[in-house]
This record gives sequence, C-alpha cells and structure tokens, in this order.
Amino acid sequence: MSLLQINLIRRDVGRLAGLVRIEDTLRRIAWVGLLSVFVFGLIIGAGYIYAMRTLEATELRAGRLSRDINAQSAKEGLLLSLVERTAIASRALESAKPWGKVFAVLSQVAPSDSYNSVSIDGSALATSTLELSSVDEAVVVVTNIMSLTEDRLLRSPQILSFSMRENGIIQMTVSFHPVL
Amino acid sequence: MATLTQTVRTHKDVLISTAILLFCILAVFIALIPAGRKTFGLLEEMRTLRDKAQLLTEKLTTLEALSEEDLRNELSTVLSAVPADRAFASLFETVEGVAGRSGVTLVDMSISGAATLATPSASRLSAAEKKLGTRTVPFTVTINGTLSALEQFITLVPNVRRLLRIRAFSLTFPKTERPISITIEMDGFYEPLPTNLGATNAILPRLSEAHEAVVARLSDMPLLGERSTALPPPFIGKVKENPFAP
Repeated sequence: MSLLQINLIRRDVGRLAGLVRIEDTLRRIAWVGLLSVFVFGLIIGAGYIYAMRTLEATELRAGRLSRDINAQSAKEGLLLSLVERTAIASRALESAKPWGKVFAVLSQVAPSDSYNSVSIDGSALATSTLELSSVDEAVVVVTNIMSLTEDRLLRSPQILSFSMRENGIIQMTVSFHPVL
Repeated sequence: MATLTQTVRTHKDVLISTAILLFCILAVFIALIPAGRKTFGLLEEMRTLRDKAQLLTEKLTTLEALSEEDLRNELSTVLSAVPADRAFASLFETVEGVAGRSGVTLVDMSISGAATLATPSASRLSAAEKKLGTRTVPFTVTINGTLSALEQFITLVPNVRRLLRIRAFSLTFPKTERPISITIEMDGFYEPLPTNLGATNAILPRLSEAHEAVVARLSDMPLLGERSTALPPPFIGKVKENPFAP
C-alpha cells in the first residue's frame, strides 16, 4: 500500500464542537484583523501622501513669500525706523515743558522792573529775587502769590528771604513751582 | 514527520488564522503606529507652516500697500526733529534760527557734558536718558534781549524742528537800560537708527494714529536748521559678511 492514501472518512471526526467554534471565531477575527490593517494602512498612506504634497507646496509658497518680503526690505527698514523714531519724538515732545507760560505768572506776581533775577532749575522750581520800594509792595507781591496759588497757577510758594535796607528797599526771595 | 504532517493538515485552519493574526499584530506595531505618528507629525508641521505662510502673506500685503516715497518723506521729517546722530550743525542752526525769529541776540552757546567727542556707539545712556528712552545733547545758551523777546525765544524753542528741551534757565535783570541776559540749559535729542531688521517672519510694526499725529505735528513745526541729517540708505539692516569687501 502506498503512502498516499485516500481516506474518505471525515477527518474532523472526533473533534469537539467547541473546538470547531473556536476555530471559526479565530478565522473570522483573523480576516477582520487583516481587512482592518489593510484599510487603516490605506487611510494612513493616503494621509501621508496628502500631508507630504501639501507640505511641499506650502514650503514653496513660504519660500516665495520670504523672497518677496526680502525684496521689500528697504520699505520694511523705513517703516521700522519711522515707527521707532516717531515714538522717540513723541516722548521728546512730552518731556519739553512750555516754559513761556512762566513769564505770564511772573508778570502777575510782580512788575518786571521789580525783579533782580529769576531762575528755573531742573526740578521746575522758580526762584525769584525781587527788589521792592516798600513793605506795601511786598505785601502786594505776597498777596498775588497766594492768589495765584488758589487759582492753581503755581504751587508750593515759599518766601526764602526777606530783608529791608536802611533806605527802605525790600529785598525778597520767593520760590514756587509754576503749573505749566 | 508523518505526525507533523498530519497535525498540520488537521489544524491547518487554526494555523493559518494564527499566522494572519500574528501578521496583523506585527503590522500594527511595526508599520501602522509609526506611520500614523509620522503622518500626524507631518500634519502638525503642515498646519504650522500654513500659519507662517499666512503671516508672511499679510506682511507682504501690508508692505506692498505702503509707498516707499511717503515713508521716506515722513522719516525725513521725523529725522529732522530727532536725528540719528548728535548733528551739532543742525543744533546750532536751530538755536540761531530761533534767536533770529524772536529778536534776541545769541551771545554764547556751548556744548556741555563729556560726550562731545565720543561716537554715539561709545556713549552710555544716563539714567535720565534711559527713563526718557532717547539720547540727549546738553548745551548752554546765553542770549540778550528785551523781556518780551526772551519770552518769545523760550516759547518758540519747544515748537521748532529740531526738537529741543529747556531744562533750566536764569534771568538777570540789569539796573541800567542794558538788555536782559538769560542763560538757558537745554537738551537736543538724537538716537541712532536701528540696524537690525529682524527675521523675515518678524511681525511688522504698525504706524498708529498717534504716530501719524506726531508726524503731522512735526511737519507743522518750522524747520529752522538745514536738513543736515542724510536720509538712511535704501537698504537698511543687511550687514556685510566681510565689511571690507567692495
């Protein structure tokens, strides 16, 4: 008898029904898994190809835009300089006080021929040395200073010195902060 | 061998299913997961690059809408107010111009401070300059004139180009009919121009309405000195790799 035999008896004779069910389930799971791997593989592959092509196109576009912007670097430089310079000019304008208004305040404190000297220091403190012919004039000056203080045209007034000479001339030094 | 063959033949379906399952598991861990990560990475990179391209497009659109001529003219106006260097010539000319307009006599003008010879790059910002945000050229002016002329001078100084600031002054009223003398401590402003444009995708600065108002105000101010500050070269910001190359 040859080794190759034809056996007409069912080969699964004697196998348990449970084992058959397990085999069927395993077969189904295997085919579903294979199909899923294939489908997900296709999806991921398509996504990869799309991303690659879009990325290349976007890189080309970004490169072209960068070259165009570099070609406009003169304008960009001018704009940058203009914005920065304008901010500086704005700060410079704000820092400059309108000292011309001090003269109006001084003329309201006393007549111009009463002044010996007037000085404004870096802290905006005005110090005036006046020479007045009488105490009454001095009183008028002080009254004017108080009045201007109430009108908020100056603040922190002080009489720094007050002296009378033998001839009755009053020498007075006052200081105040003019409100500009 | 016959047993093996018989076993294989008997459990052929199970073996095939198991092999397929193993292949699927390997395919997931070796191929699908890395490919998925790579793809997500590419999508993220694509999103980032798209945003960058959008910014570049907006920047290019803004630049193309600007007129280089208008920018040059406006910058020239602002530079005449705050030049890029000390520009002593425009300083003297401006003070002389103000003196001429107000009818005072310019007796003396001297530059003070230790920075008269140092280039702007060598000078350090003082605390006051840091607070102000710009460099200053301190100088002293002595003028003679009537009280009204002196008042006109002091009133005019903050309202001319180049921009000047009065820090302190002292008036002396003579007893005789001589004109009144005044010594004024002043500052002129200057600031070197920027030399770095930044990256191509750097955000473009905008000229706000406040900036435009400042430019308009400066345009209205009389220019008493000659425009001695040269306009910047047409190409700002690029530094030669070899500065000595032609």
